Amino acid sequence: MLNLLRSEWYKLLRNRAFWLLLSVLFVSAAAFVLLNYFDDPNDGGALTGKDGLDMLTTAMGGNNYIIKIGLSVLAGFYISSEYATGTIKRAVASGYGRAKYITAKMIVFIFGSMLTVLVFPAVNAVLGTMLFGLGEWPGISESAFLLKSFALTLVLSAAFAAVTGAIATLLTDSGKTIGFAFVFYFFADGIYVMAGKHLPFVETLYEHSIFNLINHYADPYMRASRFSESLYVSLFVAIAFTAIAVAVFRRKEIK
Amino acid sequence: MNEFVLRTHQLTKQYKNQTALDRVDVSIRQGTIYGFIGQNGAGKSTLMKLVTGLAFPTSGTVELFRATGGSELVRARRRMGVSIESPALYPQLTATENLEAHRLQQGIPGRDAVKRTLELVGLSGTGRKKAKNFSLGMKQRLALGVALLGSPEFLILDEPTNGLDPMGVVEMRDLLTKLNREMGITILISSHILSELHLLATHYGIIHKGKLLEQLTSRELQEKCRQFIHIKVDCPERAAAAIERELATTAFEVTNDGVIRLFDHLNRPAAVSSMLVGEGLALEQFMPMGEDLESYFTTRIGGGGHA
Repeated sequence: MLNLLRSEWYKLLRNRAFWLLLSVLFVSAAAFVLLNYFDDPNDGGALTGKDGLDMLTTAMGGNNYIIKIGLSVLAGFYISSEYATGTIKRAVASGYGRAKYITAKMIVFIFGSMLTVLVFPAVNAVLGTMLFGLGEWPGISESAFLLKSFALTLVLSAAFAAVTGAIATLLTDSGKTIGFAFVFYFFADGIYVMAGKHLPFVETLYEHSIFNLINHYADPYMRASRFSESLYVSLFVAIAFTAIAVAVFRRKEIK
Repeated sequence: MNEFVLRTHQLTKQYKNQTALDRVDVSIRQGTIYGFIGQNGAGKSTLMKLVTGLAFPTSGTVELFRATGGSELVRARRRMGVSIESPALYPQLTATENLEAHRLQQGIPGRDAVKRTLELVGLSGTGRKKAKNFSLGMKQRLALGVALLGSPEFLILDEPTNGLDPMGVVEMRDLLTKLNREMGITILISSHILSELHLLATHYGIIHKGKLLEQLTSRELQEKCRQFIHIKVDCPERAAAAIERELATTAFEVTNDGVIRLFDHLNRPAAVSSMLVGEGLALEQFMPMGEDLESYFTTRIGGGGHA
């Protein structure tokens, strides 16, 4: 298993899509902070970032899209591309069980996704704090908020990465993976809400799903119960969808 | 007698209404080069996919290094190197990086293994060039390199000479022969170039429409490939009548393009040619010939086929 993880990590570090995503996110985060810094609201500016915590909260809001869209692209180019290049055949015939191989791939993909998703809020928080100072918010411990924010970013990105990874394993084609994941994430909230009107349990399901939790994860006044729910639901989803990916891959014939 | 590296027992693969492989019993002994011959869609790649675990059999079993199923069979696959269909490479990685990714996966100690393999397949000078910019021949060699990394005992190569120039084909043949003779690697190879396979394989398996028609050694093939005198004259009908009448034999055939293949009187070519000239026929071509693998294969599958 360790060999598989090392090999997957080696490949991820040489994946162009991974580095492109990291670079784009880093540059856009830095640009966003600098825009806030130079855009003076007293002089007609529209950007209102005034301290590091403020920059972090705003970045977490935007990160919602990075988690959904960015990870779909990464899954397309890291997981599905193995089918297009045929390298998946080599991996399956390599003498490791299919379950081991895909578990290693999912673990590295999830870890890579967590790193990717962390870039935008982390750069915003660090650079924002350097330029504006960390800031003080009434009734909130700054260090606890920082810790909670990064913890939620990591677990939610792990959950979404696992769902996207399972989609990539099922569809096996980069284009289909990216396209389907885009559409699925774009309409997921709407579908849940619509179905919830007729089926009350769907509404409850949505309330506790990662699709809803991600809409509130940047709330600085989040209750402790909501925070712990976000943690364990995300972890459960990450594990469950990794297991789904394993189950799908074990039965899949490689063409 | 060497033990079997691979045996399949009544191996069958069905896709919806189509039987891709029908109760196939293949046996490959250690140290042999097994040439797998069949037309497109005959079942060659399907068998390779079942052996390598890419697809699952509908019925029957695969026995690899005596392992017949479950985790034993999965582990047995560590002893083989594989290149199926197109060369499976990471296009964004260099040759070294492609091999390194595989080295890490297989847990092969020492980076020297990568360097040695690059030298073995003649790609040590490719530097930072990415695999996507390689010629098809270079890709084939790199795919072979990946398959060889980790010193496999059994190589499965599907069309490894595809895209190679004539020199590349010769080099590939020499390399495979060397791997087989010097390192004792057993090889299962399919190729469309039957003349090339003829120079390489020690054993053959002929597959047609999912059924294994025959397995034979190169010596048995030699014996089965019929010798004949190839005759082309201005009037094949008259020549055929003369052969039947004057040489008292019916062991000949007239092909569609008017060539007569005489399977008798092989040790009396001068007498045959004199007789034909004496009959007033103009001899255009006259030479002793033998069937090769290609013609044997064509005959075996019922004519008209291309491997």
